[in-house]
Amino acid sequence: MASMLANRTFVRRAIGVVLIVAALLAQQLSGFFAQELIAEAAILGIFTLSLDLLATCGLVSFGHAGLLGIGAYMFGGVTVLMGWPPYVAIIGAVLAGIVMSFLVGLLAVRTSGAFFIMVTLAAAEMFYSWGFRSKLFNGADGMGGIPRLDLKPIGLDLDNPEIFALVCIALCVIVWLLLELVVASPFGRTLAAIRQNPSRVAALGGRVFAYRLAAFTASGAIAALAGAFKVQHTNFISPDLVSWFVSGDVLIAVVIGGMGTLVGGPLGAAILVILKEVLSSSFGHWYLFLGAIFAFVALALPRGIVGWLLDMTGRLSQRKAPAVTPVSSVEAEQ
Amino acid sequence: MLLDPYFFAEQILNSLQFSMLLFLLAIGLSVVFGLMDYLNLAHGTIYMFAAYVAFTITQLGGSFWAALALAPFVAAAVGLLLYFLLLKRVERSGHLAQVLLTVGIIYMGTDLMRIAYGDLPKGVAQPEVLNGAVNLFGILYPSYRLFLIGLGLVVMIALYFALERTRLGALVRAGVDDRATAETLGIDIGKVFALVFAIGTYLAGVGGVVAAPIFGVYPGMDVTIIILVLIVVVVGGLGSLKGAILGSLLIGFADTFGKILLPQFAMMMIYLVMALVLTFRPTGLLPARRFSTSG
Repeated sequence: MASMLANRTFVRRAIGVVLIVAALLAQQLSGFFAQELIAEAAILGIFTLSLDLLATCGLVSFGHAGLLGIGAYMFGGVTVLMGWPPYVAIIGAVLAGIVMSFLVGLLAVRTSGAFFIMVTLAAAEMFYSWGFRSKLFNGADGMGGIPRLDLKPIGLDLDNPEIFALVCIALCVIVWLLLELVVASPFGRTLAAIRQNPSRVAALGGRVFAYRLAAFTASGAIAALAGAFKVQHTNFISPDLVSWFVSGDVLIAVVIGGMGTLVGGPLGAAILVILKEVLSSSFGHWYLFLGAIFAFVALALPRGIVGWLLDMTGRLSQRKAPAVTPVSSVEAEQ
Repeated sequence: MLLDPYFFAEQILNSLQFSMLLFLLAIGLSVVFGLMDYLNLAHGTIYMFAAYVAFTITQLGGSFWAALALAPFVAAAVGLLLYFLLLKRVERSGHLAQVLLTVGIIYMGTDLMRIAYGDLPKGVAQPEVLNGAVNLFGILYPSYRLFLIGLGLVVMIALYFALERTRLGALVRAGVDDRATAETLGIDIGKVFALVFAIGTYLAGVGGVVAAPIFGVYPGMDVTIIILVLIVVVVGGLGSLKGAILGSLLIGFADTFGKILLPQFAMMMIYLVMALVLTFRPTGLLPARRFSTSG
C-alpha cells in the first residue's frame, strides 16, 4: 500500500477513476438541468487537458481561448455556412486547430515564462478582434443554429441532453487516457525534462524547440476539439468564446485542480462550473465570493487540489517506508 | 488625414499622454516582476481603487489636487496591506499561484467597488486651472492632457535619478540583476522589495487619479488597463526603467495611431507590435537582465 501511495502516477490515475465514477453517478442521478452543467464541465475538462499537456513542457498559455475559438468557428462555418455534415466539421475543426497552433507556435514557443503567456494572449486577442468584426459570422452578435453531431445510426440522439452529457464525459475520458499514454511515452518524458531544465535538454542534444512546437500543436488540436463540442452544446458561436476571460477560466480550472497532473484539470473544471452555478444563483455580487475562493485556494493549496493530494499520499507512504525517495519534493522545486 | 500636420501633431500629443499613463502603471509592475519574479495582476486593482478614492474625495468637496495628493497614499497603504496579508504568502509558489491569487483579488476588488459605488461610471472633474487649452504652435491642445505629459516626464526623470543615483536605487538594481548574490552580500531584498512595491502602488495610484477625469471611474477599469500594461512590460523588458519608458511609448503610439489608421482593428495594432518585438527580441527590448527568460 505504501509503495502504491508513493507512486505518483498510480495516485493520479486512481483520482481519475474516482472522478469518472463521480461524473457518471452525477449524470445518472441528477435531473434535466444538471445535464447541461455536466456537459459544460466535461467540455471544459477536455479544454483543461489541452492546456495541461502544454504545461508538461513548462509552457503556460493565456490565449488558449484562441485555439478553442478556431475549432468553434471552423465547426460553425463548415456546418452552417457550407452545409456539410457535422462529422466533417469536427475533422475540419481539429485540422484547423493543428494548422493554427503550428503557425502561432512557430513564433510563440521561442519564448517562455511570462513572455509566452503574453504572446499567446496576443494571438488570441487578434483572433477575437477578427471575430468581433467578421461579417461572415455576424460579428459581435454571433451566429446560431449550429447542429450537433448525428449519431442516430448507432442509437445515440445527441439532441437529448442526457445522451449529450454522457458523450461529452466519454470524450473527456478518451482524451485523458490518450494523454496519460502520451505523458508516459518517451515523447512525454522528454517534455517533462524540458520543463525541468530546458538548457540541459538542449545541451544533451534534445531539440527543445521542436518538442515544444509539437506539444503546442497537439494542445491546439485538443483545444479545437473542445471548441467543436462547445458550440454543439450551446448551438451558438460569438467572439465571447475567444475572449481572454475564457482563457483565464481554463487556466484557473487547471491551477485549482493542479497543473501538470492531467486529472487535476477536469477536476478543477467540475469545481469551477459547480461553484459558478451555486454562487451566481445564491448571491447578487457572486464574483466577490468566487474571488475569495480563488485567493483561498492559491494560499492554502498553491499546487492545486491534486498536487496537494499527491503531497499528502507521498508523505503518508514515507512514514511507513522511509526508504522511498520523496519524489514530491523534487517536483516541488518546479 | 495624416497629411494634415496639425492633426498629426495632435495625435502625437495624444499618444504621448496615453504613454505616460501606461508608464505610471508599467514601472511598478516591471520592477516588481524583475526583482521578485512576481506576476501581480492586481496592480490594476490599485489603480481602480485610487480612482474611486479620488472620486470620493471630490464628492466630499475636496479639490482634484487634494485627491492627487491623498489618493495615491491611500492606494499605497492598501497595496502594502494586500502585500503583507496576501501577496507575500505566494512569493515562492510560482507564477500560477500568483495568477490565481491576484485574479481572485481582481474579482473581489471589482465587486467591492460595485457594492460601494454601483455599476455606473463616475466622473471626476479636472482642475479648473487646467480646463482650458494651450496654443502650441497653432495647435489648441487641452491643458489637462498637457499636464499629464509633463507629470509623466517628471516621474520618469525622478525615477531615473532615484535608480541611478541613490542607495535604494543601487540596491534595487543589484537585486534585479542577481538576487542571490545581492542577498549573499547582506542586502535584505525582502525590505527593498516592500519599499519598491509601495512606490509602485503609489505611482499606480497617481495613474488612477489622473486617468479619472479622462476615462471616468468604473468597475472593470482595472482589467481594461492591466492587459495593456502587461504588454508594455513584456515589450519593454522586465525590471528596467528604460524598458518601461520605451514600451509605454511604443504601445501608447500603437494604440492611438492604430485607432486612426485601422479603426476596425485598433487592438490588433498593439498585438502586432508585441508579436514583432518578441519575434526578434524574445525577452523584450531593454530587459534589465539579458539572459533571463524565467523558464
